[in-house]
Amino acid sequence: MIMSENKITIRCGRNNLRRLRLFVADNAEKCGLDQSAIHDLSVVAEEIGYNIMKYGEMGESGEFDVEVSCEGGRFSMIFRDTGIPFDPTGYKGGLTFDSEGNLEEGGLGLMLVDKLVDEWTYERHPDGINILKLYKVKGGITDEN
Amino acid sequence: MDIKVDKRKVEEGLGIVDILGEIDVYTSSWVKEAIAEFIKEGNYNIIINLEGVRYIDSTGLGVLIGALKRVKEHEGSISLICTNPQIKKIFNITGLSKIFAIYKSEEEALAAHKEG
Repeated sequence: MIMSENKITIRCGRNNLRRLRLFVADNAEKCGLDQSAIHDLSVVAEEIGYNIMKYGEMGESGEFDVEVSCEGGRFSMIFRDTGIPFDPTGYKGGLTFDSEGNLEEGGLGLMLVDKLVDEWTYERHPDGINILKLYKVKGGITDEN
Repeated sequence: MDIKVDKRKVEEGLGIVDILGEIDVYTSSWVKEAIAEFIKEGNYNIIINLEGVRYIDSTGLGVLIGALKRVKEHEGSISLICTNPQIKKIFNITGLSKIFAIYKSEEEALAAHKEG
């Protein structure tokens, strides 16, 4: 793991997700976000990190970068990875039921992300880098979202 | 591991699971196993106390959904105790607050169970 004040490099492997979460929570706290927003951003960071590790097909030696910043009451996270192209912003997820009406596990990670950030965008650069930007504004999201 | 799971039998078929810590990608498989074992022991109506839970992600939610599926095979139920606003928010926005009955205290959850 390489870490500077506002950037962290995470090696693929579940053991590193907690470091990512703590890095984001620490920076969100410094940004002055309340406990609810810090929890939201921690969940978002872990869900995105987990997705990159699980579906990015980068292998255990793969790495991705996360850069955070706080400007004008807006906290941003930028994930950069070289995994397979995938635009998660178009995948809303949600509760799913089998043919007998039983609730199924899974499908909630990206739904949580979508509901817990104010805005997120995805770009695939020609040099093979996925860039996912997520933003949360202080006081911008309520429980009703 | 930043998780502690305690299981208590209240009466035949009814038990309480107290979870303390963070339910995330590291700990969820352990929580899943602990609850599955409790169900296997015949506790098909379970109250899961999340008052000591500081963090839950989608893998944690998946564990609760999986437990619900298992007890439903025996016409059982899973209800939750949760007052932490951050955790409740996760249940609200995913729609799981409509799937699980969520109570403010153990007394309230037990009373609701007795009322059927």
